[in-house]
This record gives sequence, structure tokens and C-alpha cells, in this order.
Amino acid sequence: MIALALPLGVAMVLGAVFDRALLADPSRGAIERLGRALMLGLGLLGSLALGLDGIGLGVSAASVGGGSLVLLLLLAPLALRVAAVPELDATDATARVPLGLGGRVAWAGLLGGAAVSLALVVRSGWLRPTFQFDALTRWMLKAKVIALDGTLLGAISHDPGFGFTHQRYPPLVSYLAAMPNLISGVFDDRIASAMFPWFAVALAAVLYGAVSRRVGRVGGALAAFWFSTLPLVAYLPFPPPGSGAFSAMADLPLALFATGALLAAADAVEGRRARAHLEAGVLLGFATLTKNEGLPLLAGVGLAFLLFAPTTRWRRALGVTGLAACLQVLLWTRLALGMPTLDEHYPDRLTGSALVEGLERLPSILWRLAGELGDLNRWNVTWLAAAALMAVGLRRLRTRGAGLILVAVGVQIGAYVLAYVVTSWTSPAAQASPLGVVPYLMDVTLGRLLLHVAPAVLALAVLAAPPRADRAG
Amino acid sequence: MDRDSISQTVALLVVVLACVRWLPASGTEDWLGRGAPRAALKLDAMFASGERPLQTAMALRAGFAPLRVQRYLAWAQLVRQIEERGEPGSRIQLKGVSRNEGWLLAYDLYPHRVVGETAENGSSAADETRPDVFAVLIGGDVPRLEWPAP
Repeated sequence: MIALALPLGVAMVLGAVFDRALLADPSRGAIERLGRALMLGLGLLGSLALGLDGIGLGVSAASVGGGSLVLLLLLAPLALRVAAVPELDATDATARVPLGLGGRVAWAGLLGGAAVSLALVVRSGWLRPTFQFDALTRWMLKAKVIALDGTLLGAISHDPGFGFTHQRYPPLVSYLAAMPNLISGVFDDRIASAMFPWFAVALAAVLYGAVSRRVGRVGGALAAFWFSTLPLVAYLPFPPPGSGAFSAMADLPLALFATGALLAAADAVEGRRARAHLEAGVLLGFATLTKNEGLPLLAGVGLAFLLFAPTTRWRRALGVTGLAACLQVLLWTRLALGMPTLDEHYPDRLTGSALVEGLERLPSILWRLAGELGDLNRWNVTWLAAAALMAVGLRRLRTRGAGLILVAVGVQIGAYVLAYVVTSWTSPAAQASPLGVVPYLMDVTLGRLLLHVAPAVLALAVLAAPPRADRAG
Repeated sequence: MDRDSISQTVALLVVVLACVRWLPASGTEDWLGRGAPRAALKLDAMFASGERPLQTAMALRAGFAPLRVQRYLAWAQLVRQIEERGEPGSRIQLKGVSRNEGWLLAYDLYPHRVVGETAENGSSAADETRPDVFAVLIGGDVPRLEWPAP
């Protein structure tokens, strides 16, 4: 237990101090503070370990502990100085209206439901060993290498025999998963995978805080409940493989950083707080260090800034995406350049001929996408309900922030469709499948790809049509 | 029905359908997906009880496909034997093992190194044993372990 609690505790302290020191903490309550501390801390701790490995210091309990201490000592004076400044308040006037009895009951019930669901997820993560195929052969194998060898950049990073681990994939979650094992001294994938449900806890708390600040506490609680009870987050082990918050995959961590970045970017374009640009840049950086799918998000947010930032658009777009790109390049790309690439290296596939060749797949890809959005078993009524809420509350979405999130989500989903159009991926199971290769690939990946944008979409849905309790006062 | 009522109804539907999933399963396939959270609790209870954790883990890994569960269990027992005897970094040759099972074995056996072709690339139990390997794992419905003569 201590092997898990210690890195989580260090992450929370790091995140809280970073938030206070550099982001002028916009939180309105303990739940959002906890979520932000965990979100920022997990990203910082993973990036720190990656940075230490990158400069040759290796990854051990001592090096990560020492690095964390240095970071804390550097940030502490800034955090103390900010504490003396009157706190910024990014809360809307409508969200300050006191709740009536019905509102308080709804708030408590929704938060209670979210807490129960998240408790189930944390318990599953604690009890179950890693079991998903992709989690074992990519993220956990790398975590095992880090825990046993003290580095990910040894011989296996260039060994073609380990090509199946996708050596070039950004490895932030593997460094985080290795943390408990660095403390315990033995590798146990049950404890390593127990780190992952905490990304879901952070995401629910961040959603609660960000939505609460805009439309009130019941709306925030509804968003947290909605996300926390998504079947493919909370309790479905499969299908699709790897979506569950307990399944040690990088998709939920990416969803956390992507959602945090989009909400911060929305704050930035609406001028709600001064340092939201910095926060969006840092979180986008963490997203690109978590999965390659963070890169289209970077492009989407950059484009959305150009479209929606009121003034100095180029400077802001460049600032946010530039900061994220710097983090990515400094901490990972410069190390990964010499590593082998695979058939799934999508930039190599983006050619005119691959596009023309793959266009015939487009109708079936869109049909399957529609099928996934309507899949009640995996998503309950999430996508249908989100569309309905956004349609009836369209007026409330005519803001720069909502526009930014919609454009970035659209670019992200468009990038996934494009990837299915040009992919040359195959596997023995896919070749044996009666569905065909691309439908098989979509069947096993689309659910978790949509998870990257689902929290931001359901936040928008609640913002479009907030619960009446918040408005009645 | 005005826009406000529609939005409140939709939000209520989201909450009610999420709660309905916690009801016991109906026994037949139903579109509400009742019983799924209870199934997750039942699965976790098997791990919490500490009984047959390896079997449960392999069943989960194999997606509860009966034949695969048996094979994964057999692999897990052979991996244990290698871990008990091998020095870190020892080379383990795979013969006639499928690509996916080979990747899982590479994970389970690390820091030992797995070598050999996959069954999909024509590897079989008849492959010649490499001179520098510590152990040989042979695929099939009943996986086997061989110790090459030193």
C-alpha cells in the first residue's frame, strides 16, 4: 500500500505547489484542488522521471525523490509569494447562486454516485493484475524494464526483438506505473496498474470543478457523475479492450490531460484567468508525452486558438502549442529519433496515394463510427444525450471557449478517421476476422479513442443545458 | 415540451440509465446492460478472496475463452519454472508459438530475452534449437518446456 500511496502523495504535493506557484490556482473548492493537484502532479512526476532518464541519471526511488525535492524547493518561494496575492476568482456569477434544498440533494446524490463508481474503479485497479494485451505488451513491459533496469533507454529501446512494444511511443505512463515498483524493489504488475484509476479520479474532480465554476455545483456534479459511470470507464473489462480506468492503458491518462488542456484553453480564450495559456500548454505537453494521439490535439488547439482567440491570435497559438511542443521534443522526441518505427507510424502513411487508396473505406468507417456513438452497452446514452443537450442549449455554446473545444474535438475525431483511412495495420487476428482488417481495428480501438474526447464533450453538453437546480437557486 | 424541459429530461435519463446498470442481470440479453457492474464486483471478489488468483488472472487475460485460459495457465506455470532456474538475461527460444503469445511471454519472462520466429512465420516444434539458449518453450494446445543439454 505504501508503495502506491507514496508516489501518489508526492505527485499531489508537486501538483498542488506547481498549481499555486505558476497557475494562480482558479479552484473554488477542495474537490477541484484535489483533482488539479493529482492531474498536474502525475504529469510532472512522469515528466520528471522521463527527464532524469533522458539526461542519463536513470530512474530510481532516490533519483525521482531527489528530483521531486529540487522541483519543490524551486517552486516553493513562488507558491508562497502567490499566497500573499488576492486569489483570482474564475467563477461565473450564475454559479455563485446558493442551492435550494432540491439542489443540495441532487448535488449530494450525484457526487455520491460518482464517488461510489470511482471507488469501484480504484478497488478494481488495486485487486486486478494487468490483463489487457496492449497494456501488457506495451506500457507494462516498459514499466517492468524501467523498474528492473532503471532506464528505458538501454538496449531494448533499439532492439528489433522488442519492436512490438512500439519503442517510439511516448512512455510517460510507463514511468508512472514503474514508481510503486521502484519503492517496493520488486516488479508486480498488480501494483503498477493500481496507479491508473487515479487518472479517472483526477478527471472527475477536474470536470466537477471546471463545470461548477461556469454553471454551478449541480452541473459540475452531473458532469462528474456522467463521466464516472461511463460503462467502458467504470466496469466493462472488454470490449473494447483497454478502455477501463483499471486496465493500465494510456487512453484514460490522455483523456485527463486532453480535457484539462481543453478546459484551460477555453478559459484562456475567454479571458477568465491570466495564466490559463500556460496551463493549457503544460497539459498539452503532458498529453503528447502520454500518447501519439496527443499530437493531433496539439494541432487542433492551435487551429482553434487562431479561430477563437480575440486578439494577438498568432502569439497565443504559438505560445500554447510551442510550450507543449518544447516539452515533447525536449523530453521525448530527441531521445526517440533513433528508435525503430513500425507499420503504425502514421505520418509515413499520409501520402496522396495512400489517401486515394483508402478513401473507399470511408463510408464503412463513418458507419462504424456512428454505430460506436450509439452503442448503449459501452457508452449508455452518452453521445445521443450530449447531442440532444447541445442542440437544445445551442445558444449557450456561442462562446469562444465552447467554439475552441468543439473545433479541437472535431480535429481529433477527424484525425482518427484519417488514420483509419490510410492505415496499413494488420495482425493475425485481424486477418482471420470475418469483418476485415479495418473494421476489426475499429472494433478494438474506436471506443478508447473516443474516450480521449468524451469528457470534454459531456462537459460541453452540461454547459449547454445546465440542470435547473443550479438556475433556480 | 419546451427546450428547458427537454434538457432536464435528457439529463435525468443519463442518470437513471447509469443507475439501472446496477440492477441484477435479467438473464437474457437486454439493451439496458443490467448486471455489468455486479459482474465486475464478482470478478474483483475472486481476487480479493485470494483463492486461485493465477487462474483468475489468466482467465481475465484470456478473455475467459476456455481453451485459451488453459493454455495461458500452462504458460504461466512454465514461466515460473524458468524464473526459478534462470539468470536474468538468459535467452529463451520459442518454437511454434503464435505472435501474440510470444509477445506476452516476452513480457512475462523479462529480464530473460525471448528469441525465435513466430508460428505465423513458419516456426514449429521441429525448429533447430539455437546453441546459446537456456530453455525452449514449445507452443501448441499443451505448451511444453525443454531444457537443452548444456
